[in-house]
Amino acid sequence: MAIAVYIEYPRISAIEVSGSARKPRVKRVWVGTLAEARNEDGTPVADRQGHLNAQVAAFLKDNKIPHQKLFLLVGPEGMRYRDIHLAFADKRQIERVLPFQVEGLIPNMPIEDLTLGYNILREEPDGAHLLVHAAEKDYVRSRIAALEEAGWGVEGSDSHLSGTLNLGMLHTEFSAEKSPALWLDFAGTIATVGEVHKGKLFAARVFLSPYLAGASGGTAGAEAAKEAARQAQADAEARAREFQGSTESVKLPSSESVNIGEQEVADRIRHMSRDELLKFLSRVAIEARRTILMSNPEEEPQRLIVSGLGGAGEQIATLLGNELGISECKSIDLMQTVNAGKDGKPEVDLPDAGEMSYLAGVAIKGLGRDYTHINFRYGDLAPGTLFDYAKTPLAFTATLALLFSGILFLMSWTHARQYERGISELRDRDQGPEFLFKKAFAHTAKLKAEDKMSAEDFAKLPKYTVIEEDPTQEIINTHKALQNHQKFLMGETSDNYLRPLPADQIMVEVFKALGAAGPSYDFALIQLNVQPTSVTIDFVSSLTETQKERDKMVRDKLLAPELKDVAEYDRILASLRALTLTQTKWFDGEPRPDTPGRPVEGPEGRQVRPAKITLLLKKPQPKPATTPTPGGAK
Amino acid sequence: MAEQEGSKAMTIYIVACFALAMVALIGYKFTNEKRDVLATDYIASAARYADINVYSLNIGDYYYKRSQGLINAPDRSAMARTHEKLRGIAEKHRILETDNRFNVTPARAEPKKAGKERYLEYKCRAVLDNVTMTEWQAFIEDTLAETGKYAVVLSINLERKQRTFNRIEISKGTDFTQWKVTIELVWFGPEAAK
Repeated sequence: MAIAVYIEYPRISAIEVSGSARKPRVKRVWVGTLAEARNEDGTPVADRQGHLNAQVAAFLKDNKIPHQKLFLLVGPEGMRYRDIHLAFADKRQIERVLPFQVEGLIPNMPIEDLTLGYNILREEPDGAHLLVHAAEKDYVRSRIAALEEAGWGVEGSDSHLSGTLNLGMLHTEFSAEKSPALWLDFAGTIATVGEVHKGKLFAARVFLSPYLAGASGGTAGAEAAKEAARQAQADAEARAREFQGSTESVKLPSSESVNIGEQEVADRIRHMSRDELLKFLSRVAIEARRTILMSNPEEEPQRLIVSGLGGAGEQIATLLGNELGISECKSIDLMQTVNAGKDGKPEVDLPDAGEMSYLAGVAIKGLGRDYTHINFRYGDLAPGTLFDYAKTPLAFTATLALLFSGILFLMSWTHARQYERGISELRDRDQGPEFLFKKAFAHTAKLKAEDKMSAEDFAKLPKYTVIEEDPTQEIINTHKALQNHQKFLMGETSDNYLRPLPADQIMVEVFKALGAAGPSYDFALIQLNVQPTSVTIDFVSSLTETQKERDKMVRDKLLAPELKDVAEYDRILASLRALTLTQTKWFDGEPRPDTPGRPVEGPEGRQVRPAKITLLLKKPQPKPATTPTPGGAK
Repeated sequence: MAEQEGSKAMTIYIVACFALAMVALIGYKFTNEKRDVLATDYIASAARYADINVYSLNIGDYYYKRSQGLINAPDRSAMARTHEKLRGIAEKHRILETDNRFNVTPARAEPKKAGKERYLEYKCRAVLDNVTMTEWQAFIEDTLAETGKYAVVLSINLERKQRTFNRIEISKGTDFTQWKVTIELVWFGPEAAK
């Protein structure tokens, strides 16, 4: 099923068709009013699009239009047609040149404001004749926007002529086995003349139906209708003159439309004077002849088929046939193709509106029946996918992303280059690493010459290596070589000899610890023996040291205040314990005191106690093997 | 009618922009890593260059002094004469062998092994007898100054000759206490030097 919608003041109409492409059927028709875009006080509505959106949304929702394939009909008020001849028939080439061709043919409208479609009428050895359908973009865009704003997706958009052709070419009168026919279709105030042969359209023209255009509505009186028709005729002719004599196109003023239906048309024809009728017939006959002349058919039309005139169809067909010299004349109802009941009556009651045939013709595109293959929804009118809608912000984001990442890249690249240059400059400066390296060893040649340096040692001196492509590594190598050589000269060893703990340094630390304990007047060191595995301290500590003496030592800063109440032996033991805890690289565990000896009495009644404390030393560990440096151990 | 060229161009532009942005970001990732490395390298290189200046001066100065005979590098023969150096130091402080106050034994080499490495260990022992604290302190200081470049003090034994309690003497601030001091030095050399 598919739906076509036509939106034009004063109506919105829609038609739903079902069935297949070969046998389409009208299912439902909806007609609603489209209020004029004016406020209550008669002033124009500022937001015309908003007004249209609201009207369309209300129509779709009130009528519960189903969400199916929906096509927008572009009425005659939004269309222009041009018959052009091109020197080729290839579609890709045609599409490439078409805008430029049309631009010259419609000089009063920028080509950017038109959306184009075409159908090939005749292919000839020297090219092809096309009928170009040019729709105003604003017309199409505003209506699509209204439909989409209401929540209905628009599958495509096509012209009223396409609708007429789509529907008409389904009629049996235009089947391939029939003889050539001249087809005149009247839809309200718009007439279409076509030449059909072997089931194909060879020529087509759209023109304003003379003396029919006028006040719409079936209640208009005959006199009023005549007056309105005359005015419309004048307007139409004035508009035709706009095209500088080009009468290939017709564009109705927006107040005129196809809104009058067959019954209204028939009524107007009935109320025409003889003079008006003759003029009407004459004008239509002229258009028909021009069409025949332009197409220059191999076979002259032998039949005249008139559609869209309702009850007056047979009469007008006969009169036009006489005018054109065609004897076989017939009036048909195009809507019968899609709305024929069992007993010859319409299956669905249709309103008397001229756009019904257009709508039905456009709607059946949704069923697969598409004679012209025209869809105005392309380019900037194309149905938007999520990507289409996101294109602009995406392009903006992409530009920003490119700029941002490009700037980041350039900044980091520039910085990297600057650092590279900086390192190269460090390496390549006059007094650079190479100069300094050579300067460091400038006197070694003299040493060797004077036999102050052996040839072996001289050969083991580091050599400078240039690494042209990697200045950083060159500096690193130079630094490492000089650093190692300086360490070597300072006595650092790289051998694996098992060196003992430094007894002299241990001795100094023990003396410091004894001093920190605050030795009394009676203290005496008897022996300090620093051996590779242990340190033995023999001493005598006072037993008669008085509080007064300790206080004096505190005052003289020979004793820490917190030790003023501690006996001398305990102070020494604590101080040695602190030593073993701080110098863990040498000492293995806490001090091991021997049992103090018997008190010994000295002069002045002073007493001391001999004591011995042993500090265990850690066993030296061999260093992990390394590459020997020049010169070996020193 | 086909899609407009502008729309295609827009799509191409978006894709190209994102693709280029991605390439630029990948490039940024790599160049930024390189930049970080180079920034660190640059700072380190500048610091190394400053060090190279100092090392060059130090090493150059050392070899200059060697070339001018101002300093001499310790060599194996000098090491072998360690006992003579110690004797000289003792004599300098009037600690004479003739008074039985000084005794030194020439260095003895003992083969040693640390892991797979074989080497020689040289030991030299000096004994100072009946010396004051002032004397042995001065002797040890001079010994370390002379031999510190190649030798390690293996052991020191400071033994007071008078093991009795004589507080009075010490408290007088004088230094009459006699000591017997044994100091043992050790250094190493490759086995080939044997």
